[in-house]
Amino acid sequence: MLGVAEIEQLPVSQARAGDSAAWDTLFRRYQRPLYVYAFELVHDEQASLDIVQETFINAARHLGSLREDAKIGSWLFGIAHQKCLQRWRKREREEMLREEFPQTAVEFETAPDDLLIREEQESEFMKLLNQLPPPQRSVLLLHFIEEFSLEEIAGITGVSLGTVKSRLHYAKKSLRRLWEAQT
Amino acid sequence: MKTPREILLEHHRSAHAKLDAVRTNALREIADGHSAKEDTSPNHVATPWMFFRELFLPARGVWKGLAACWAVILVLHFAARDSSPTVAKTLPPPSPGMLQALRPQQELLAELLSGDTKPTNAEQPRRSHPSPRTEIRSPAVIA
Repeated sequence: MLGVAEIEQLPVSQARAGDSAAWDTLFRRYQRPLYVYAFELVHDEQASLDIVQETFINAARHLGSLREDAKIGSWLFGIAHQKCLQRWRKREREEMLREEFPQTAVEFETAPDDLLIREEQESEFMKLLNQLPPPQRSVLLLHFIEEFSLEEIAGITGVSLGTVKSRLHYAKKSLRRLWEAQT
Repeated sequence: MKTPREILLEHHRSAHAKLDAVRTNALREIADGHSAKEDTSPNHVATPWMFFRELFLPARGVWKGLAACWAVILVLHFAARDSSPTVAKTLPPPSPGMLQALRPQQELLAELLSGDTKPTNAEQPRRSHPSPRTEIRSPAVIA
């Protein structure tokens, strides 16, 4: 399955050459997805805006380390994820350490678009999403926002593929359970 | 019906203006960074001031040390050169006693150079004879 970013032709090589118009295109493409990801994890508007800006500046400084131009999306989200982790460590260190998941590899069977939500249920969906523990929410957001592959999500979050599969499985299960309880 | 992605992106539509400002700031910072990098690019190092900065400023302490060593060497060199004539100038004139002691030596030197004096009988060097060879043995010993 192609990710959202993979079907686009993004001017990564031009950005690497220092073309400001190329950077503008890249930033326009990713500013809102990155913001959504950061906000849904840290729940702070200003912190999320700071994370987006720091992500862009870091990306500009270290774009040379990006080996595959097609991976620009997951690379940017990886930077943003690290920034979010830094915020988490300040605020919710205990919560992060407490959570444990079984490391069983569960096959993920449904695509992000399989879950369709009615307009009147949108706010409920957002509330339910925020009830998930941060590691599960992080994986689910990456899956929903950019349709990253499991390997890409593992790369972004810095955990093993099995852990990603497990987290995604339990996140969707929890979401469904909460959804059914609501409706 | 909407996908989760659509819901999430639309939910944060209000942040659009702020995100535009963030993007503008980031682009400005990147542009500043690029211009700062260009200032230190090799093309600009060609100017004398940049060359001086590139060469000397990173190892300022080393260059200062070397300069101090050279300064000490130069001072010692000039001091040594200036002192030699002054030493000669400040030497006291020879005393009459010393001149009197030197006079017989000058006379003796003059006699030797003139060649009037007969050579004294010098002891002849001894002619060295070879010692008896040990191979020549007496017949009694052979018998």
